[in-house]
Amino acid sequence: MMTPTLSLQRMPWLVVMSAALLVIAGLGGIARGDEFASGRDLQSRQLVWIAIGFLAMLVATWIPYRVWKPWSYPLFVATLLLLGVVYFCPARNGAHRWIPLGIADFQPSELAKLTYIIALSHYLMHRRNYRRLRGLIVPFALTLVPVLLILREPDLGTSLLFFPVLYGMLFAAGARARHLVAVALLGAMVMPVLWTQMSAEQKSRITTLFNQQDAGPTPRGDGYHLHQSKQVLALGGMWGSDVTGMKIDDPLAYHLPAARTDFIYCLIGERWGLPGTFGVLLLYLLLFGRGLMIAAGTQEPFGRLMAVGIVMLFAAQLIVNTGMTVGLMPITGLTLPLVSYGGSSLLTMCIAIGLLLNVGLRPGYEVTGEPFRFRDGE
Amino acid sequence: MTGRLRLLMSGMLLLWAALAFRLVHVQWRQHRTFSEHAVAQQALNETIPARLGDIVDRHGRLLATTARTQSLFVDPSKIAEPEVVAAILAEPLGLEAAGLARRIARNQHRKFLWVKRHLSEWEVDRIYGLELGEPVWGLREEFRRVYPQGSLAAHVLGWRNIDGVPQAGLERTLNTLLQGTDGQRTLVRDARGYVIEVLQEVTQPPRHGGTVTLTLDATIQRIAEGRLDHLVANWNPRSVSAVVLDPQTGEILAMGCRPTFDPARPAAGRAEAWTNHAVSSAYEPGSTIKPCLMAWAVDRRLVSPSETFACNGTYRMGRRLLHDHRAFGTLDVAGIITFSSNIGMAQIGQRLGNERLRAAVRDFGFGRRTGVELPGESAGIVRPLEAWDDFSTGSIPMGQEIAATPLQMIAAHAALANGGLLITPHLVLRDRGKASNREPTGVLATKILDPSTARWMVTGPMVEVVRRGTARKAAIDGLTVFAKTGTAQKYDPATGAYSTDRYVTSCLCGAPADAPRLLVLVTVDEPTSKDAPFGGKVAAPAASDILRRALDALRSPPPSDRLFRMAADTFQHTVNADPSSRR
Repeated sequence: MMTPTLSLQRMPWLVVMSAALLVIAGLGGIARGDEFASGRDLQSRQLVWIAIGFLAMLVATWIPYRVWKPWSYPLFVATLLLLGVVYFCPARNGAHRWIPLGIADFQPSELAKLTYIIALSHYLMHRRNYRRLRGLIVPFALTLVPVLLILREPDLGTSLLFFPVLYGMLFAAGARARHLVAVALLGAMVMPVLWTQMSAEQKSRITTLFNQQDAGPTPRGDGYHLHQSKQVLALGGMWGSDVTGMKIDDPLAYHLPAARTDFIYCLIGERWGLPGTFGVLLLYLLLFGRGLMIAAGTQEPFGRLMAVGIVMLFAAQLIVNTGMTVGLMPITGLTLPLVSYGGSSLLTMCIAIGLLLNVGLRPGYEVTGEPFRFRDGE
Repeated sequence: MTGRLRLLMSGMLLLWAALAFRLVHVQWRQHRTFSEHAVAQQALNETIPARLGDIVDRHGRLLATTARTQSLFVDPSKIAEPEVVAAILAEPLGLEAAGLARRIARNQHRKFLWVKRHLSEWEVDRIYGLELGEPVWGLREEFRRVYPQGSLAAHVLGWRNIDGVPQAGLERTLNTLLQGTDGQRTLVRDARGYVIEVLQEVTQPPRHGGTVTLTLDATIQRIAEGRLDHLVANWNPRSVSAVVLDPQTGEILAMGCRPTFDPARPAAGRAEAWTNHAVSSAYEPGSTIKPCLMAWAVDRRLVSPSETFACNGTYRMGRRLLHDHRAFGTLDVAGIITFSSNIGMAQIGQRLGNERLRAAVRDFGFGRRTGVELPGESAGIVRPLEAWDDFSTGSIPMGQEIAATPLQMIAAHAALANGGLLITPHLVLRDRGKASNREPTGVLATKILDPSTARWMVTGPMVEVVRRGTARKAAIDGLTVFAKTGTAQKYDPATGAYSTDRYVTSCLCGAPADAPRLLVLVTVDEPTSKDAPFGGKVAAPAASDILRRALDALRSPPPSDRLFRMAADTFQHTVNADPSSRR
């Protein structure tokens, strides 16, 4: 029932093209950042990671995704163990996020995003109990375990990513909208409790969001990062400094911490202006739309959910990351997928793209009919 | 696409739209405001230093002023070969090339290093003549504190370090009046540090410091200091000080010390030379205090001027046997002062008792600072009443067991000379009735004696001291001088007793007795001599010489003083002349 040979005609070239252009845009941004930082040459390092990521993507595309189905739970548990190991690794900037591996550091929370999607897809694929409110307990519990582990690192940004992915997948799997809304409301009610559990730094990141001012004197302390982020974006102007040239020669005006990793979007905006930022948004939109079409065109429920999970992950991370650079979201250490400098992130996102292509190439021909089609009352 | 996936897509599209709106806002609408702000951030506020104000004497003669000079700096980070640059710079500046090269090399990580500060004009000319090519050096205009009268009144003026930070004297206490407010200029520089635009020529002009007029009279100051040098040459004391005071106003006309220093180069001498002994050193006053306490006793009607006391050379006082250096027989109150009889004073002390003795001492301002505008003033030592015993009853009236600064002593005597007012001695000239000279502190006048008592003490016993008492050497032809001398043995902490060969001798004198214009106090700490250096011998001639010449100076018309014009000309000459032209 599954075609034994791969047909390249099925290859979702739009996804491949979008991903490739995003990586190239990222390289351009990193090059800009290298100029500002006049320090380490991260662009050439990123090229190495791109090569590794490309190989990983090929592998993720090649191996039929169904192979992973029986491995989904053990992989998930293994990732959770790694998230535990992280606590025993040396802290960096006060956060236990990395496992040092000599040449590069490995961030298990990146891997956790993928294994979580695979495990949840596996769990949801042949059930229908999540149509009832009580049936939502297990998926939510499955989510809370990695979320709490990552929250303790602490890495608020990454841990909160799991919820849009969960919601997207549950929604696509046919959970009742009113249940999801009810749970979301419940979550909103828990927010004050969560607030009390947050560290002073996390709180200040949220309060600066509400205290931010456009332009004006550079704030010291907590507001500085957001101010500089907006300033670097604004200094590029509508067309970007590649067209209009740099108006200001003061390196302090362009000083932006974590520019090439979490704030790569600012560098792209500075260099290519609105066409650059809108272009990146458009590429993600194409990726998201084409990814959803892959999901829609896949009869096999496991693959369909995985595709939804992956595009939701991309979308959520994009919204949070770009939102923080323009002051719509609190600043968290979250990368812009495929664009930001960073090995773990790039590798994970390449594998995710590979899995998406994998699903797109193997839509499956089950005769069970369209999955997750429920009539109300069912 | 199924309906649900389509819903997901539309939800995402909404979020995308929100982001897009925000991006347009930040990247397009805010481009201008952020750019302008970033430019302002990059703009550099340069300080335009305010010029320090002048210090002038009561006739407007410059004692301290400020000159503009150039200082040379280099940017070590741009110097590839320190030896080459150092070799070029060292010769015209008179520096050692190897040392300069080492200094540049050691600071290679920095962007700024002084090579030499406060250059002379000929040094600046030579620097401009050098061919250094690369922009590795620069001249910065600085202010340099200049003392045109050299070390005259150095202890009063104090000094500043090379950055203009006041370290001592009036420079320190009057700094707020002298320093003014720095101005600011806004510049825009490019990344290499070159000025590309001056935003506003002068954003905020500097407010230069004000001129402070002192009560000092440079002529009298020079007379006093000349006499101090004479004392040092003759007696080789540890230290010596002189104060000239107008007793009617509390204005200090001269105040000087030895050893002294050059305020332009204070580090050249020893740090001990910085001490202003007239306000910072407290000595046991000895007999000089006697007229004050006697006047107080007479004023309070505890002793009558006509009373007599037996002063027969020795006097038993409890467990103590007092001596005078000779038996005077029966002395009246005036006689006790004239011959400075310790036995007589001890009997006055017994009459008063410790409580009233201490009240008298405090009334004359001993044991607290006078409030003169100088830093580091000592309050002297007046022990609490509980610490006084029957010994004190005899010791205090002869000026032991308490310590006073020369300034406290002369201020106390000024109260006798001016008819009973204890006036804060001061150095900043108050424009009476007008508020033109900003006054750092108030001048207080406290009535402590009845005018008749004060006048009696000055015109009676204290004139007798000069006529036939201990200060005969203080007499001046044609003037009625009043005076009191004192010789206090120094307490020797090693033996726990008074030393027999170390003294502080002092002489206070004033004239004319019927309407005193000036008071002079000379204090000599440890004069060395073969025979006992009593105050009458060491300090009295000096004090009366200062008094005579100072009174002369007051009579002669002051400002067009050739001496000071010459001094100022000499100073101008040394600044402008190029010594190389003399070669």
